[in-house]
Amino acid sequence: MTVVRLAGAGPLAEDGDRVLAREELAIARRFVGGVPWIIVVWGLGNFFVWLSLWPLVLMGVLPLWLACPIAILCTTICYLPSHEAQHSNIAAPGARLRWLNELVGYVSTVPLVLPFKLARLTHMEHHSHTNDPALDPDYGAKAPNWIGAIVASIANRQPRAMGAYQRTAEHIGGEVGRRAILEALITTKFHYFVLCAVAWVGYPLEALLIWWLPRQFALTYVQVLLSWAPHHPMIETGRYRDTRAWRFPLGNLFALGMEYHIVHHLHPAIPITRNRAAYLALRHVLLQRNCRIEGR
Amino acid sequence: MMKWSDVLKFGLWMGPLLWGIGFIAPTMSAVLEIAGYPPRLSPSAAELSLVFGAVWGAYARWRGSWL
Repeated sequence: MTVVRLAGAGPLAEDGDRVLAREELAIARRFVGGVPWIIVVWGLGNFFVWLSLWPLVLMGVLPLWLACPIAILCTTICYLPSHEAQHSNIAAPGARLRWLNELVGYVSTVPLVLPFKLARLTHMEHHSHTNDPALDPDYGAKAPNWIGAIVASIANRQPRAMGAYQRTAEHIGGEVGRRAILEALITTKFHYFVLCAVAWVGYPLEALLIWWLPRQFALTYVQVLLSWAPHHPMIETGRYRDTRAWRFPLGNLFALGMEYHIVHHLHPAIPITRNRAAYLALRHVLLQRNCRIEGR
Repeated sequence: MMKWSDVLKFGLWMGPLLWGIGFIAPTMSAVLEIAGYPPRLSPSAAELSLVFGAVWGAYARWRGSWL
């Protein structure tokens, strides 16, 4: 854990700093541990709901106009279970249920077509270098306001935009980076191939409204809510200043739990379902640390 | 002699054009038919969509953006 030494602080201030750090850790530990089964059910269940839309629509059981908003919902909420798996919050390496952690990681984001290996690799870099223009793979989300964040998200998906995630994986290099890029390449191109094949065999609108459109909407929503909003305006680095607690006009549920993202950056092992409780317990420490508590 | 990796790179480079023909064209054709495009009209909805998809894909390849 990084312990920040205040400028001009003497031995007494340093002792106080350590006490505060210990208190923060002790509180955080209360929210860590156990298998967050709700995340597992959420990740796998949501995937199966999305998957079931295909046969239901193709067999005429479910109208396409109804399947589309369900697909949008499924695709928008599918990232978070994978995010927990990226942090090994379902099961750590070597644990008995490690396979479940990896299964949730890979399967939950199929609707979003987010390659797990690359997502995990780049997300760890995001945590290590939050708001660093050169090293944070999510820095491309930087924008002056909501509209700008939406525009940036769409612009970053255009053919000329070299993916920040690919750039990060190349920077990391080695076998790990190479495998992540290869997996991402195969996954995304296979996705496009499947969409084209489904369209050419006679179901273009189904492909459009169950997969392509929901994915575009979800990518924008997730990038704005997860990459932009909690770190806006992305001008500060440092453990206690790079992420904020904030208030979304539509509430924490529609913010995908990101109102308390500051807790996640300080203690990634706390599952998202416990972030709010952890925030409330940690709030006095965060205030003493001069954290960005905005509107809460 | 051309390597497989070169073929793959070319295929990736052609991505937007392939997407225009492979996805935009059939989707646009289906939308036109639903919108009541006359079935006997020439060019047909499929032909028109194929040209539109190819042109848009080529534009996206050239400009680096679909917009």
